[in-house]
Amino acid sequence: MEFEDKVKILTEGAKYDVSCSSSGGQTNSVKGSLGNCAFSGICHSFTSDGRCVSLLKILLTNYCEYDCLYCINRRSNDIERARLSAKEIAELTINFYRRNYIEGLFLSSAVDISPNHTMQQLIDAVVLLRKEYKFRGYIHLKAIPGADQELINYASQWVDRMSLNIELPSENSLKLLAPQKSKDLIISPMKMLSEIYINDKINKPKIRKIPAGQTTQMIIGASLDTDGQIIRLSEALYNNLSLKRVYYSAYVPVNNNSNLPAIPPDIRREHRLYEADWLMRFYGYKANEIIPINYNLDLDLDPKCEWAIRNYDKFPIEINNTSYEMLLRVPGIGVRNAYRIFHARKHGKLDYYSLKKMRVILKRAKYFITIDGKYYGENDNPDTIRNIITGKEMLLNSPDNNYVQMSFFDNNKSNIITGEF
Amino acid sequence: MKICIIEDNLVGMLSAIYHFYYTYRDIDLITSEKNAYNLTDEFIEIESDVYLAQKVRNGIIKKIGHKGYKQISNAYLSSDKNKEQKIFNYLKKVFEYGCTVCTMYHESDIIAFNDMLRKVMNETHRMTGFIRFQEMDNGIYYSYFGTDNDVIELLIPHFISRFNDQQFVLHDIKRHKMAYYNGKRCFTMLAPKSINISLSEREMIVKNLWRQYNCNVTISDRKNEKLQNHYAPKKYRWFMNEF
Repeated sequence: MEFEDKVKILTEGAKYDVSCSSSGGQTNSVKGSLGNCAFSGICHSFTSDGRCVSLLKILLTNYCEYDCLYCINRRSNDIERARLSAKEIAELTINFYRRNYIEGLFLSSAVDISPNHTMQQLIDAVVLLRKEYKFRGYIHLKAIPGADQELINYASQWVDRMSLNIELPSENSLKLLAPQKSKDLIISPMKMLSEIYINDKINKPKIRKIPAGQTTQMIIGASLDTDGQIIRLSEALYNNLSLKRVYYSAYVPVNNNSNLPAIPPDIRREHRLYEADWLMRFYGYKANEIIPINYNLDLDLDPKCEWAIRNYDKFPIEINNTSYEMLLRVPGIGVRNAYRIFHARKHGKLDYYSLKKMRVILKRAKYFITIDGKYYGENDNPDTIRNIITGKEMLLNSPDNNYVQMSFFDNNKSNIITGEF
Repeated sequence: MKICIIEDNLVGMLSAIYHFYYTYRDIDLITSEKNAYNLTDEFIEIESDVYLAQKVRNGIIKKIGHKGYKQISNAYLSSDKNKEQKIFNYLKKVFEYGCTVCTMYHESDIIAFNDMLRKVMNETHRMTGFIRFQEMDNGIYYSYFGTDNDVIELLIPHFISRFNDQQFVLHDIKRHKMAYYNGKRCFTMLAPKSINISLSEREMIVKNLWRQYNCNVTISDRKNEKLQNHYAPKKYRWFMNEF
């Protein structure tokens, strides 16, 4: 098989992994070595699905012993299989890196022969790149569930970030869809990585293991788990295992099976989960506040707005003297604007035009704040506000809509409204 | 209106600031272009003076620190037609209020300055990702690009630290500027009119692998070209070889 074909197969096998960020690690360059890591991460390109290309995302092999129902690389799928050698991976990475195509390498693999064998192969590839090719760019390495802890521990000293995919949000779903994986096989190495990360963060040894921490990913909509369960799991992962990121990936149907939904979940669900995730990480929300455990997030309204309307007794707040924490809870005001308002108001009272100048978007915020004592929303009834924000109220209030008494003969009009002939 | 004409460089800009505080208190406008103003305007031409500029620089550093001065020199790289005026207005505030200007997010002059600075820094950050090198047969990696703002000098340190064992050329085609790093030192120069590029043997192979990689990593069920256009604007794509 030609080299290009192998790269093609192994790229397509890796593309459903969401993680693409190259941020969080800061490695300075050393004379005579190649590369460094920018703390902010750098996106090098964007594909037509809107995702960024930051790392060379590739599998070492897609020969797999496992038979996970949702996975394109599962053993029982009849697809082309390929394997790359450590040297091939290293050469490709270096060639791309020197041309400024990529920020580093994201290396994953299917479970070939055994978890330990695969983990060893991954380690060999990474060590070759670091030692022989003196590569100091970013490396994100997948750990293989079921591999010996010593191997995973050893791997962690060579890479910037490691991750194990939780895959599915509950043990039951895992049993149903990924029978060879178990909760324990995934969580216990994650615990170890978390200890390594925290230990090195505090003790700051000369060579830090996984300076960019660990991440994980789960598939949304392939099982029956609710959003309430999912974000509680994420919250626990952030709090107890010090994860940097939890990625959510709306299930893309690649296989047919009666245990899998035939239609993919609404893409907005993934989006809402990310919003909830951001609320927990940057806005100080608890999972409990966002949604009860057995419910799914509202697809029409973002979780922050939803919370504010549900707790409308706390609003409107005066932006000139409310706390920073409360500013963050105003729909339409993000972390950056909350910070700016918090500092700018020390120089004097802010009025409507100061906020306009600061480009605070008041379209939503106006229902939840007073500016220098004045309320700028048209309405302060939470139910009406909900309707206005979700666009349901517009239909009734908009001056463009000329309501005409319907007649039985006026078929055209009634079609539009009732949807039937 | 009293208009101050300066040479188009940072030294000229800082010299004008000196004169504003010590010679002509009534300057309304600073610009490097003389044309397109009203007949009744009064012009003062100010010569660049390194000594005076140095004095103003030290004054700025005393007020808002090295980081603050760096922001001003970076903002000067902007392509904004009124950059001199915007920096002038900002500096007036700096000398009046000192460090506290950095949190006056509601002041028009400061917003205008920050916007300009942000555009320069954003473009710099983008270019650290979007610039593409090609390997020539003499082992030098050559890149060409064109940006809205004059950010080449902000890019040089990034690429030197990243590719310190590699000889490379950054070529800003729009401004005819070039930077060459020979593995030890970096030289900036005006670009020659024509450049001969003979690529190495493997260059086409790697380039094709990269193009193919970009196609393969796309999830075609999730097409979202609007988002792609937003993140990778079309104005940069002529030098990005995957497009």
